[in-house]
Amino acid sequence: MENGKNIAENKPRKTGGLYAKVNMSVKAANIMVTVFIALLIVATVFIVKHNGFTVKFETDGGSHIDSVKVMHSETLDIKETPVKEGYVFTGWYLDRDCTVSFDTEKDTVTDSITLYAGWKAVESQ
Amino acid sequence: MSVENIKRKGRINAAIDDFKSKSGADKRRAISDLLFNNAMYIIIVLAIIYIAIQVPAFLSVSSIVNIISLTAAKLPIALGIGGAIVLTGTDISAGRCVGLTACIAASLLQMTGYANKIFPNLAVVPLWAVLLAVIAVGAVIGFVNGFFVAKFKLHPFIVTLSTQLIVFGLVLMYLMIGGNNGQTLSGLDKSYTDFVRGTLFTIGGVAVPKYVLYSIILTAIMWVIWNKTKFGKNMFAVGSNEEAANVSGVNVFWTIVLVFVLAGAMYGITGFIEGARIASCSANTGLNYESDAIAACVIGGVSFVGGTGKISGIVIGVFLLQIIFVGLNFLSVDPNMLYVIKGLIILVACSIDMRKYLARK
Repeated sequence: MENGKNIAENKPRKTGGLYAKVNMSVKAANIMVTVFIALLIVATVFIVKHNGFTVKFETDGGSHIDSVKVMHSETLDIKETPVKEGYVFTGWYLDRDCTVSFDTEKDTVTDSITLYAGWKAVESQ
Repeated sequence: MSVENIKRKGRINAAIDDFKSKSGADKRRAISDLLFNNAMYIIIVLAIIYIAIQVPAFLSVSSIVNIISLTAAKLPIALGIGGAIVLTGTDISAGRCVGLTACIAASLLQMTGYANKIFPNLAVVPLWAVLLAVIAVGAVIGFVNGFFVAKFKLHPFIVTLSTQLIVFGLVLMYLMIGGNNGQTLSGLDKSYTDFVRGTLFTIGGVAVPKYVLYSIILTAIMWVIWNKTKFGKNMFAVGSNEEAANVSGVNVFWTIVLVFVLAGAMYGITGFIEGARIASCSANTGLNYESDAIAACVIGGVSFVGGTGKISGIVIGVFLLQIIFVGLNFLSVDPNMLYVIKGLIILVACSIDMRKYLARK
């Protein structure tokens, strides 16, 4: 801003905005960008190598079922069904209120999800 | 050969050598500029090629329609934030603002007779009234942001950080109204979900939702505002040099306020669309939406230097980012892990943006 006269005479000049006070050579900036790109690539490769969606099971007081790892567009391959005293298992659901059912043999997984067990009380004889 | 001739030849040779070395350095510099400035695009294109080879379903019609729909859903919020970045600021209250407006829209448009209705005695409110209401709510939050930034010269980061928390508190309180007790809002009225998610047309048996059209309309409106109105020109002038803009008669205060009000209105519209799109709104709706939007803007060439940016750039930025996210989903990348990649993408995009500024200086 030492020659403010020139600035006033010329067209409005960019002040640099967020980078106005950055004092860095282009070479240093190149190194910085390269390091960040390398970080991004390394992290992405690592994450893609350790891929898999986690499907968790909430049985609402029933027997515990371990969460499983599933790949994209695969079906859930679980044969185990939970048990709960006094109730009959009615299937897995995507929501806690048990309105959207999930067919473990047909429905494919496209995200990490939690499945909720549906229960029906056994009628006392 | 005379001595003079030899001297002359030497000088010419030196000049040629000088020219050669100089042009070589310039050439190298031009190449490195080209590579560095477009590094993000190069990485994204390579990633797309890799994913397409690994998972051919990535390029199926349904996948491409999915990418376009997601782009349309995330576009309005990015168009709003773009204005704040042109002013060298940012807006981190955007995501929570979308969350609040989505919850308001969903609560007013639950179907009659639904068991867990937040307002049990409320008939279905007309769509236009709800749309206007959420735009107004967004605009008010935007006005608060803009007022504090313009009047007290506080950095937008600080102002919007505080409004982000305030708005989140409002969302939590709003969800406690009646007997709702903070639960997810669902059971939306059919008129609402049809208006947003209804089929616009089908390609190869895959339905394109209506909100794609709304997004295109909003983009067109924003293009006109940015490029054809006095307000748009003032916004770029204030963004590139606030003092110079003030000297040349631009009303800096109202320009800044209006940029944030416009952004807030965009968040309101995003919230309205998002409410029906995800069909179950909770306090988590809209979480971190602003980070995707900021990343998309910077990738699309809206610079933190200020006064630089194009609507087309924002569209491309949002689109590229959604391609990557959908692609990583096809590679079975856990959404938790995706946050790490998103963070690094922002870091890379902003460092490239800064490098561009330093190279031009």
